[in-house]
Amino acid sequence: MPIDFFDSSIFYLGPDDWKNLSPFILLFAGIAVLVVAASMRAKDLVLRTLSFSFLSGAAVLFFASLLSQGRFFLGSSMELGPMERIVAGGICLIAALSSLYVRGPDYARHSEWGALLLICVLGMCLLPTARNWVAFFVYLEVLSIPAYLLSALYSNREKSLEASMKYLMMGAFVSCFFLLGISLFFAVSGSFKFEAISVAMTAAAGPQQFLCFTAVALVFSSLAFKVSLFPFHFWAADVYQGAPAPIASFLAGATKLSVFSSIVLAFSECGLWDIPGVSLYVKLLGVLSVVLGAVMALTQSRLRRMLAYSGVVNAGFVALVLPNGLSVLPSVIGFLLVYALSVLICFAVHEIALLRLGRSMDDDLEINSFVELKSKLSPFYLVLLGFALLSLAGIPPLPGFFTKYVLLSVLAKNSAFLLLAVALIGTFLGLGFYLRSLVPMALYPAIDSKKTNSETSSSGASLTAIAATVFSLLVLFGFTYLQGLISSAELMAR
Amino acid sequence: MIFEGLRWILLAPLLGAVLNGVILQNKSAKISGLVATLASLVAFGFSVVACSQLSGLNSAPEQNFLIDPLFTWMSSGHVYVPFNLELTSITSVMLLVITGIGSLIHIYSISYLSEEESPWRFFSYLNLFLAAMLVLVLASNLAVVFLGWEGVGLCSYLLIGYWYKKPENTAAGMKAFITNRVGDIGFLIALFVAFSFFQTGDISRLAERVNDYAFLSSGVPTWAWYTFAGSLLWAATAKSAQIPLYIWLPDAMAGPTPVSALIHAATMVTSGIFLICRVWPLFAMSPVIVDAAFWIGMSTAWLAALIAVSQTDVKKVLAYSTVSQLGFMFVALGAGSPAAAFFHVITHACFKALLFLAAGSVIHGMHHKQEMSLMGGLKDKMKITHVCFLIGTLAIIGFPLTAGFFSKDMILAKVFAAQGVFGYILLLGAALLTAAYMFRAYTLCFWGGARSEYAQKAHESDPLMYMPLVVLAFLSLFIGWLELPEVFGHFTKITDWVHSSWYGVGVGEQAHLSHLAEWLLMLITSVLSLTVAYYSFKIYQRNPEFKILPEPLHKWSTNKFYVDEAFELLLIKPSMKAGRFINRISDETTFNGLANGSFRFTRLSGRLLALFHTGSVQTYAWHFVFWSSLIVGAIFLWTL
Amino acid sequence: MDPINTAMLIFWPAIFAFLLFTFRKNKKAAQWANMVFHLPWFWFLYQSCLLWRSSTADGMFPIVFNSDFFPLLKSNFALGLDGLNLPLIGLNVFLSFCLSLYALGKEKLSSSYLALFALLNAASVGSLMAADAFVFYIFWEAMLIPMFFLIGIWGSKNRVYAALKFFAFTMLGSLAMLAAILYLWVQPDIQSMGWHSIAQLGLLGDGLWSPRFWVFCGFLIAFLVKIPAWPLHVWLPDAHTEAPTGASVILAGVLLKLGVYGIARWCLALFPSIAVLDVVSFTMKVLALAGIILGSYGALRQTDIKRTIAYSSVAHLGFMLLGLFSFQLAGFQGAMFQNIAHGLSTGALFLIFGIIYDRTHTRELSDYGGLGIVNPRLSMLFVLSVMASIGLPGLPGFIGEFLILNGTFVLSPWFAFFACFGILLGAVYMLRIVRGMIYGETSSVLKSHPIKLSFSEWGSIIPMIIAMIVLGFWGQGLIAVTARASATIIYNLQGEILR
Repeated sequence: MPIDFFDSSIFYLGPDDWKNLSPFILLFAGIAVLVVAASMRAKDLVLRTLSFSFLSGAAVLFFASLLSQGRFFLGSSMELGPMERIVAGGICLIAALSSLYVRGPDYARHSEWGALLLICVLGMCLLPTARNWVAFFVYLEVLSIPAYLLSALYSNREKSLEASMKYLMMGAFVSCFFLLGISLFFAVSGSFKFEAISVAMTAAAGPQQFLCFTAVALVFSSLAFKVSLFPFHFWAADVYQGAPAPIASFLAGATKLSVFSSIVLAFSECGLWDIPGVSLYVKLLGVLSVVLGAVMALTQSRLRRMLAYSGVVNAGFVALVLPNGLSVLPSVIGFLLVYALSVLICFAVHEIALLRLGRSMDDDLEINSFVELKSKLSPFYLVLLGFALLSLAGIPPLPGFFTKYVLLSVLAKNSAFLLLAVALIGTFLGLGFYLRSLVPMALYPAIDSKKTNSETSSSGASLTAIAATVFSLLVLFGFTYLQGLISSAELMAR
Repeated sequence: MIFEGLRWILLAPLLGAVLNGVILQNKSAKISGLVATLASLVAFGFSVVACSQLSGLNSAPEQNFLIDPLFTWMSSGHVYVPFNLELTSITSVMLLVITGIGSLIHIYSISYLSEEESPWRFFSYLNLFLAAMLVLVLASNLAVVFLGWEGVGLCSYLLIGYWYKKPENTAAGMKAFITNRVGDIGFLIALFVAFSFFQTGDISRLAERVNDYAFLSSGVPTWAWYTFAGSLLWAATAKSAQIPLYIWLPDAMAGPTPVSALIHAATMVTSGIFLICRVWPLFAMSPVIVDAAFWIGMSTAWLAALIAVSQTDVKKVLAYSTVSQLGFMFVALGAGSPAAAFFHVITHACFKALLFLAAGSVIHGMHHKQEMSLMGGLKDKMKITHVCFLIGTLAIIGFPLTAGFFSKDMILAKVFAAQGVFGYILLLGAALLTAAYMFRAYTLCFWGGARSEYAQKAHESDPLMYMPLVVLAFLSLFIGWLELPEVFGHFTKITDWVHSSWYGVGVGEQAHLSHLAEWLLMLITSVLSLTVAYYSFKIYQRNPEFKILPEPLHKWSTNKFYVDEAFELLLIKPSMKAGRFINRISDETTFNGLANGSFRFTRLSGRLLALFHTGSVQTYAWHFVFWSSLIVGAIFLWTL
Repeated sequence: MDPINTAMLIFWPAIFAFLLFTFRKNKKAAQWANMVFHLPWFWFLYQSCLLWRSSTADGMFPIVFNSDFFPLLKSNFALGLDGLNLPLIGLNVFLSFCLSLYALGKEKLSSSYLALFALLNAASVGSLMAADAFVFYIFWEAMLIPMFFLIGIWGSKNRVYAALKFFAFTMLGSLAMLAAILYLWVQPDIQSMGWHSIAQLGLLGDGLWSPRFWVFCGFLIAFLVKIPAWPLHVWLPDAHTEAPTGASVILAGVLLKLGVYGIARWCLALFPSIAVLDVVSFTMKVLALAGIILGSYGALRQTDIKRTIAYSSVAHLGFMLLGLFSFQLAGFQGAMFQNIAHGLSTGALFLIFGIIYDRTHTRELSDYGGLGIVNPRLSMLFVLSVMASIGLPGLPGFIGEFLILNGTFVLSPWFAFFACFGILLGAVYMLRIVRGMIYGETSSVLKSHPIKLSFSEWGSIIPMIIAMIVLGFWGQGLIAVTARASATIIYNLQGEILR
């Protein structure tokens, strides 16, 4: 019986299929337009408006399709349900916001950043929809290769090149692990499709189970690299610092959202959680990254490096919650969405600070050099940065608290009290490094150094920051609605 | 029987205090003095009206007291404290004493403080003291008595520290307040026992508990009775300056003399004994405590007398004599006769106030010099003060037919009846010592040549000061007639008043002395004390530096038997040091250390981890492989 | 008199906080606006008092305002009003009004200071009235941020250390409470996070080490940090000394009381069966006693005046903890009364010393002396508030302490006996301060910095002093307010004791 990699029914697209695929089609169109614009050396204003419009269009389409269409299948390579639509919509939103403040001379030489950005977004939106490992791998590569290139945009700056080289090398190294993993899956189940693998997994026994466990371990470690969980997070700090601010903020938020939701969907689809040792492995990584990430973040003296390690800690939180099946997805999506938006605000305000202090674009501000900010920056931005940092730390009445609370309630529901304790200690340590960066900005007396007016105006960045706050507040109040919707969508889907 | 007038007795001095303290600030001594005296005279007037109202009332023993319910101060759970004023026979006498002597002292201090710079403060505190004392006396509930109790403590603190520029005055004030607070702990314990075991704070219902058989058999633990009486005794020893806690009274002389006269002689120090007289039926339920009171009183009388003998400052002599006389009152209580104690309270209030005021006018005349070595030969310069001081001294040593004679003999008779000859002889010794040091002070002050130019220039104080002296002298002569011993016919006003104030609760009286025994006792005491007085008068006329006590005892006595230093060394310094040490250990090192330490630890481990982040891709890849294989291996072993 | 007034008690200061942010330019207008804003707040308080008095709901903690609009599923925005939290809300409004008077004409206190202050008020009134575990937690944490910035920005020298320490300690405590709320949130048979549904929650099991015990401990730790009970009190002296006058008055007057109120409402009333276990009550009494004695010793040791007053509040709150765990109506009501009494007396102490500190900028006791000569009226008020804080009868402090000790004596006489030494030590260290500051010759510092109070400063102290004197004698009115609520709580507790 010939190996059926794909379903043959793939190519007969019915009339309503077009409506489901319309956001992807819009993205493809965007990529095409941007490639043309790049070849014509368009100015960054044009690039910026184009990419923003395409991305926000896609986001609107994704969220709109949420109400009408049900599930859409494209063979085993794509299954577009309400969950995947929300994730994709979120990713396009984050990409749109971060593309707003791609500005300044360095980007002029590489006008292809728009196209790369859109390809990367396309990969991220497709990843959670994959229902077989080959498609999963393809989307993963579509997602990571533009990421490597994007992080090298400041080609004339040596630190940015070094960071992207590191990211590329590690990325390649890791995708070998991924391929080895899925080949083991194939060995066990004889097919790449998730249903077949889940059948094989339940049937596996004895030595077979160890084989499955190694397969899962390999796959998960490569995905853990992508979301910078503890043992595989080393790249994060350098890339966050080296890559240009909009790219770094986009990568930080969007990759985590898409990879984590695809892990939840793929792993529960394949029934990998009930293999002995897998949930322990994931939880162990989670615990390590929460505790050691927090400890590392405490020692950082620069804002972007500190944000990198706070990324590790938040990834750790989500990892703690992962191995509880599909019901975890709504809280994971909510948590990562708010996390991404808050990181976006931090990076945007950091960008504005760089402009106001007249530093070069890829410089990473010392935390206690924020003191001069007080006289330069209008307190509105400081309040925004404070809002974002405290929301990341999970202080109530801010959105970060509610999403973290729901996430932790999953732990409490499955009475995993040890993990809950680790999470709470992580939040407490988180309090340490988030507050420590607030202190110089708020508490020290303002040192009034002269105000430098940089040539590039920071309106873009401020726009992002404001928009991000509005959206994170929206998430807060929409949350009940979101949660209600997701659970109802969930019922509808199954 | 409801009588609305009681509240005005209390409100008048309170109003005076507020007027002087808040509104009439920085006025001359005349105006603020006048306002204060007016207030205390109004209080005196009202109390006279109230007492006449009480004496007119001759209903059954349980009801013969006036009550004036004001408001509920506290009521929560088992604690119900109504703020009611109550006038029983014993309180009426005390009332007259306080307001009477209080007004005299107010008049006296108008001129005494004429050249002070902020007299309004003095008069407002004095009026506040009067109000607090009246609350203490008139309260019907023990908790309200405690309000007055601490109120007087506060006023004595403020008044002792009146000349606050000199640090030792404020130190003396603080010492007085804190020692009183030690006593207040005892009072609080008594209150807790009353509220939790006797379910009431009202003195009348507490007294009824004694012969309410149902209550007695309802299983109140005996330790409750003992703690109640014991802690009341503890409170009284602090307030009435008995052995362990008397150290504050001699230092309280740092305050102006009218203060010492009013507070530290007449009214406040006797409140401890007055309180025990009021709850005597309960107190008598624990005989061990009564004996303890006897021996505390006896030892204080002796110790204070021994110290007084060698003091050179006239106010210190009088202070120690007060402590000794209070010891006499405690002995009377210990001998089971609150009537004798109360009678001595009344007489002592009169002649001790007289002595203090006379000493005050001497000091005033001598431009605030208190050392007796500087005095001498004042009898012809300050005639009236001299005569009054003499009457006071005669009264205190028990010259026949003076106030002191009757009250001291009554105590000696009661002691003889209760404790037999041995107790009588001990007390007699103390009485003789009193005669010795009093006449020593008298002669050193008024007889012999003037020993300093202050003494030469001393002048008689103005009428405003010696008028109260004359009134008090008259009182100390004739107040004794209130209670005559059986020998002179049956006129026992004080005993009836004291017994009738226990709401009809009868308490067993001691054995009855025969007439012959009484005559004998009176003869021995008066003859002996007169001879000792005469000898001391003669000796001190010729040789002012004569030491009555043999050498080692004299040096000890002048240094007040090192009691203050002992307190400092054994009690205050170690507890302070221990406190500082415990606090340093518990706060600085452990908990603060813990808090800062944990923060530093995380910072340190962070730096340690940073070593891994070398930045080179090869190490990252190495880490990747190393960690994933380590964890996978561990889990594999784990799941085997 | 509709319930919206009670909700406005919380939202009105929040609204006004944002309005104050707009007064960035001139400070004067902001300060006057802040003072005016208190009048409607008083009116809302008055309306809620009428509402409370007319409500005949006999059950515990009647709900006055309930709206189901809240992001999370199982909890709704329920507010309750009864004898326990009404006095505290009144105290909060009163103290904040006095402080707004004090703030008039202060150069340092900018409009953002006043706005943060209004936010703090909103959060503290919110947590007092919250009848839903989740709403309570939100307001409880929301108090941290404004307080952190108040201490951090307007404090004195090493304010950053004090602010961080304050935030870390309180956060640690409230994380324990978060774990407890989480556990309750996921219970299968719990309908809503409302206070009443938690009270009826059956299955948690009883006795030591049962889940109910752990939930009780979660709540208790958060309140012990806030009170602060003895081992967890190290943040208070730093926070008090470094905080600006207004912040330390509100911290002593209201925030510490929230710990006591929290224990009364969310520990004793919710989990009486656990509170009554002799292991729990014994350890709490030992902690309280340790707080009293070691707090007083701590106060004895300090040379810095504000630190002494801070340590004295540790001792006073030790008394309140003792009263709460005496399981007697007298003790409980005493603790609730002492809440108000301590708030007034320590508030007055901090305010008066703050006024002096604004002029002399030194807190060392040795620098002071002879204030009585320089400003006799102020020193008289200072002595009065010192007497109130050491519990002199005739002032409110005594009524609270007397009731507490009476209550404790019934079940544990020895604790009451040793606690009395707290009163003695209280007198020692407070009089040491009075002697150092008021009496003696005028010190050089006081000579060079004349203490002349402006009209608004007098206006801020006088109401507090009058309130103290009135409360000293009229205490029964306040005790009656807390009577009904505490009677039911004590009734349950004693029911548990008998079982």
